[in-house]
Amino acid sequence: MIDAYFIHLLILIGIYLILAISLQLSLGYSGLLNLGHIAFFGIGAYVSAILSLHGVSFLLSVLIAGLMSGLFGWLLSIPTNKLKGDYLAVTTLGFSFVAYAIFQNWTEVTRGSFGLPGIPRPNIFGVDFSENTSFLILVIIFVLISYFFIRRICNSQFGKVLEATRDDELAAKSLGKNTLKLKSISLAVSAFFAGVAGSLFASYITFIDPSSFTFLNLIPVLLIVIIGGLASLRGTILATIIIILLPEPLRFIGLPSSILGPARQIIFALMLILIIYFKPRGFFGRVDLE
Amino acid sequence: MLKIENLTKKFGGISAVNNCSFEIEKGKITALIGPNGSGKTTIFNLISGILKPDQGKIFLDNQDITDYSVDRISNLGISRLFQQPRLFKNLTAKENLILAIDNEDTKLWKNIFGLNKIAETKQNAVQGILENVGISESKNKIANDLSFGQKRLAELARTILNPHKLLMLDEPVGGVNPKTKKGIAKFLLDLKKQKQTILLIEHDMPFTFFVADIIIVINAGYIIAQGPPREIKENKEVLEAYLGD
Repeated sequence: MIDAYFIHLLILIGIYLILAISLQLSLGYSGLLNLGHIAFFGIGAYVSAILSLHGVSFLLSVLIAGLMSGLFGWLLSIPTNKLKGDYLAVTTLGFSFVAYAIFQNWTEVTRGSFGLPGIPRPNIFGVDFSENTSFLILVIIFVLISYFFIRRICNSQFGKVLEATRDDELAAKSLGKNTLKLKSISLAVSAFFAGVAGSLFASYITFIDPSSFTFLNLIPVLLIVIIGGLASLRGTILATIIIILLPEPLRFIGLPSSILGPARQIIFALMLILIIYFKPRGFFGRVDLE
Repeated sequence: MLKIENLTKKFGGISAVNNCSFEIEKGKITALIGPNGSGKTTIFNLISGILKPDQGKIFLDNQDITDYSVDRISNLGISRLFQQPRLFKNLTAKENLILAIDNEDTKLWKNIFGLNKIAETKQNAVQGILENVGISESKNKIANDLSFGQKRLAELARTILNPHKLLMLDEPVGGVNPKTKKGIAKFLLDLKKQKQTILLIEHDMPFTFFVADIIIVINAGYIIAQGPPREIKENKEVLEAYLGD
């Protein structure tokens, strides 16, 4: 029993880690206050679920889900490319509300509030991943691929030019960098991996409905990035583990379910206040939170 | 090399630049001087594409660049030093300079597959210019931790490293201590010897008159005189408007 619960937590940590490091790319490295990340997670989950339910193989579903989310990331970057700070945050937040409204109201495809049940667990080249233990191995593989790909970007000169754009966009332009294109690429790659995380989430839970893709669900991911520290991937790993595990003891103290959710939010809020007060750059952050 | 034709820029009802025309010759240092608020930096912003003029044209080597974006203008060979330090504050001084060398760093796949190695020639170029401006010992410091003078020097080095035909320097010795000022002045004289084409804004008049080949005097958005330093020094209108006695 404990083993199954522990494996469940590890799977959640893996999925959230992909979601958080992909947000770190757009927020921490590129300085894009992107509050639409949960929409890309949702797009990935729905695309993958619908394809899987129509018999498309898991790997192809994940790839198409990632590409669709990436495409929406790129499309979102077109009207928002010249926006900064609060304006970008509000616009991308608006995008997440639009995506939620589509998940909720395009009932022919998404079944709205009834959700999509019976999403099959992965089967790759005859290898079955329906057991949680084997699914965990699959998640670990995806985490490693996503982590090394994003780390590769961040540590390369491309990552440096993203950081330059974050620090001073006009100065980067004055060195001949096409910052609009750079920001579009960053948002698209970030959205791609959020889509991959969404795809894993859908096939793990085997049921999705729009309530998993609201702004409230982005809060723990934002918290991970802030607590781990902007532009720090190792901080993101540590923060993901803490944020996923921290509210878990609440399950064992017999709180009614109506209190459990708000109690989690209170813990997150307290954590954020403490971190911003005592360690404004998070665990390993290299950049000030502005 | 650079030709400005009837450039006008208004902010609200106020004209910052009024029907200005001038040319910058290759291999010469041209200085823009004038009181604070006379429109010098606005002209810089218009040339580098940060602002778009209400009227007039800007030509670089006979190519109309008036409506080009900032990055496109930079890639055509105009490299600019800003009035206030604009280093990438969370990168090291060296990383700041490496970004100026070329645009290979903007190619995602090339960088992911490790095909954009920082070649020895690039490393040498960065090291050479860091030594020239005298901050090589601080190359691995985060830009935010550099002193004001070091920031100015690092930014000057970055501006020069950015491939260019024309250097636009907005108050390169502004706000630095006398020692750093001397270093920057020496560096500019070296650039003059190398026959670099420079457009300069500077308030230090003895220095400007010493280093510049051509001086353009601007007042309230209007060009009131242009010519060699000797002529400008004797121009009555300039003396009244700006230089005083």
